[in-house]
Amino acid sequence: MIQYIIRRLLIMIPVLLGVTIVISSLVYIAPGNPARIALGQGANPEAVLALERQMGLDQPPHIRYIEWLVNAAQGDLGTSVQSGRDVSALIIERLPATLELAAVAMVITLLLALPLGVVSAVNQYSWLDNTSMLFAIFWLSMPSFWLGLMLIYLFAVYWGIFPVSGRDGVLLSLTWWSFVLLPAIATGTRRAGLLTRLMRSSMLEVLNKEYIRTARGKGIGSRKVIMTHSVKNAMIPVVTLIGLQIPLIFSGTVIIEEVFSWPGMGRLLVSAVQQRDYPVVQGTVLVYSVIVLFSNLAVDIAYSYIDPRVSYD
Amino acid sequence: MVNKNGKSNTNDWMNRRNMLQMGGMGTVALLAGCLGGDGNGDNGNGGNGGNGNGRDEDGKVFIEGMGANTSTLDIHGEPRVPNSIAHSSLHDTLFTVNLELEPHPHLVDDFDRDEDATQYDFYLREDVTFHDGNPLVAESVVGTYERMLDISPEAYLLGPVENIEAVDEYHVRMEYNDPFPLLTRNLTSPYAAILSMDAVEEAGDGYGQDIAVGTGPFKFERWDRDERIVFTKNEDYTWGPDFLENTGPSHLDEIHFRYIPESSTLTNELTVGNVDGTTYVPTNDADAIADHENTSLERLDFPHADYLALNVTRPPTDDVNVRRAISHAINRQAVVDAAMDGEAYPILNFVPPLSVNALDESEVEEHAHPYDPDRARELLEEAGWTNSSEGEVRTQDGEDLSIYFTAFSITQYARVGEVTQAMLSSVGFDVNLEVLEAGTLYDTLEASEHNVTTMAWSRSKFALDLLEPTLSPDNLATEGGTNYSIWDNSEFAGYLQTARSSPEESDRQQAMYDAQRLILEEVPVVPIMGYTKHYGYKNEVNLGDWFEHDWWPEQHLHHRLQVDL
Repeated sequence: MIQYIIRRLLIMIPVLLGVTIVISSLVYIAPGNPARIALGQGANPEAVLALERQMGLDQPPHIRYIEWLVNAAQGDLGTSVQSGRDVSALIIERLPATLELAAVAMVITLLLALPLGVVSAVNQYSWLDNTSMLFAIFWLSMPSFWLGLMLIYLFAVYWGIFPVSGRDGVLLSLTWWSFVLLPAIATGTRRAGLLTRLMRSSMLEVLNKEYIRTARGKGIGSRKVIMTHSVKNAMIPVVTLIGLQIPLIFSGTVIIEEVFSWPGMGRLLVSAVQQRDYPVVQGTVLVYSVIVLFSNLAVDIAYSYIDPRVSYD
Repeated sequence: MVNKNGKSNTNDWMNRRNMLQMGGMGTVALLAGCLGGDGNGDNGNGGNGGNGNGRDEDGKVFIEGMGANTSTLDIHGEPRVPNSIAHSSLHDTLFTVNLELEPHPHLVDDFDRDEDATQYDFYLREDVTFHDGNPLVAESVVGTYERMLDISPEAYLLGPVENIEAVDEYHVRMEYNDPFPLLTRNLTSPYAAILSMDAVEEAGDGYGQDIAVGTGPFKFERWDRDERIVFTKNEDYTWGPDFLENTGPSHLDEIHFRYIPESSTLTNELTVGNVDGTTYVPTNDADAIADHENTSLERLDFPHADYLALNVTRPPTDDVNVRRAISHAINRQAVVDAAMDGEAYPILNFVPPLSVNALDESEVEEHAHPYDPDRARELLEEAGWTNSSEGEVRTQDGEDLSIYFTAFSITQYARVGEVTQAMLSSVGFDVNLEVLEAGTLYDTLEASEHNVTTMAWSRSKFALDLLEPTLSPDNLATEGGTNYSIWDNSEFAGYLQTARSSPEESDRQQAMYDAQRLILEEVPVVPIMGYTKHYGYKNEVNLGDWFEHDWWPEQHLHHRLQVDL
């Protein structure tokens, strides 16, 4: 297991290198002069030129990339063009908020999808099954931006149960939950739609296996058949999909952070792209990539505990 | 337990049972945390707990909703509107603008100017202190303006200054080789405010991020990134503009500038009462806020020009008759209704009627090119562009009357583009409209690839502040400037020079009128509308005499000294 983890960590290096090359290329070839955008429409040309030199824009893109890479390897992600602050500091300030939102969104996804999928499969073709699938398609089709606005209108404005936007309260306190719940629901329910359907089909496949028939034939109770013998086996492909959902959860937070004024990395990235703040774009995408890679590693390790046949030794 | 390779993992401490047990304990811990207390108390996450909106229940906290993020509190940094809304509460300027819209001494007790406007002597008030306790002295002004000349994009406000010196403790002298009569007016800008140079030196490159020190009615307390900036009352402040009811200290204990990027969310926060006021009112929500039982809305037609810049170097817009035809083809009221939900006013002169030194309306009506599609068609015929039926694309020597029309991807600009495209098509233009994001758009304009582009200029309160950056030959877009018409007219340049440097007010005014007449004749730009500014606020908020100033959206002119809760 340890060797497997080390191998996976080493593989991350070329992956991250590839990600940084792609994102840096996109950022450098994007039209628009960052110095001009930073100084605004009315800036005089001399001021724009001076800022270009300061930002290193007079150097070729590959030189700028190599310099950035060398510094990033030493933990220095550069300085924001817009604010003049260290990119690392900007990210560290906002990372906890994004992790909180993504974690709660993932929990909501799992709490919705797994039980619903199991119930649907066990009661195939019943009204429970049909209703669950209807919900699944509904959540899958719902644009998260629109869902967020509707949740605000209903629960915050009309009924006044939750705050409209923002982030407040100590982690895991009631106040904190009141702020994080609506954005997490808006982020997580879309992913839940897909997972519900997969959980259902995976359960149906397992429930039709011979060993399940054998278990029932031996007189094992229905609950034990489902929870002990079926769910765990049905989870195997579902865990794979959960790993694939993680980057989608994070990308979903970008829009939701705007709608709910949640002060996370997504808003930092959106603003940086609009302002052509190259160092912030590169640093933020790098951090997102690291999070996704580590999350997928965690999922793969979890795999080995769900399925004892899987070993990384 | 044996795995598929025949190896026993009974002794492996990281077995499934242990993992499940750890997971179960973690879940219990999570639930225990949920059953703990709520977040009251200082949590460093944007407020003092309570109702979670950052309000201190023991004090008067005014929450200003911001639809765009502040990037720096350094007045010599990026000159963006959300920056100036925030930092203007921390700082004062030597001059402010009074109710008659004239420069009015503020940090200055008295001043002298020689006849030629080449030497200014400012005598500072002696009762002003910075937030860090240092007194405002002449060296503060000298240091601030030298820094401004070094690094500020707004350094042009000081003009071609040759020397700035502290003659004595409270006496500042500024000297010019050439006349610069506009100095006192320019010193009313929030970007010309005075800084504590001790704070600037202490903070170094970080000034404006974690430290910002001025003499204003509020002090910088803290900045919760992407959430809010908190200012607290300056208890020592008593030197507010004397034309205000309250000259200080402020009635408010704190101001929070709360950043809410999504416009509908900001509107909701205002109507439910979590935001006390905001200038970021979406045009399609203006009526809803005005009619809501919890809120009110103040509107003001403001000198902020929205226009089409016509590239005079590129066919067919290099022909003045084609440019006049474009102006006649546009129904400005229809554009206002479609693009701004009626929250703007049509203009025929590039300098809006509410600007200082705007041409008289009767003269504008005589020389302008108002909506008249038949006249547009006549002009195009005269220019040699013909068609056989109405609505068909006009041609000349086998070539179509095609124009490349660019618009910003921001909603209102895109809508202006879409609406005017249809109007131009109806008189025979073949319009290729592209809605572009800012970076791409500026590249296109600098390459002079456009015929027409949507544009707006917020600094239109004084005619010169609009005309110089947008039409001066020294500011051609092809050389990195903001003259997107690429209009290189020496007669116009002469008028600008007079308006900028003549010591006589009457000469400067006449030059501005002549410049506007030339624009009406040559049509390098087609004026469309002036913006209506809004302020939405809770009914419980008492705004005093805020709206008595004709330029009340310029919040640095009154610092919210009138506001009470």
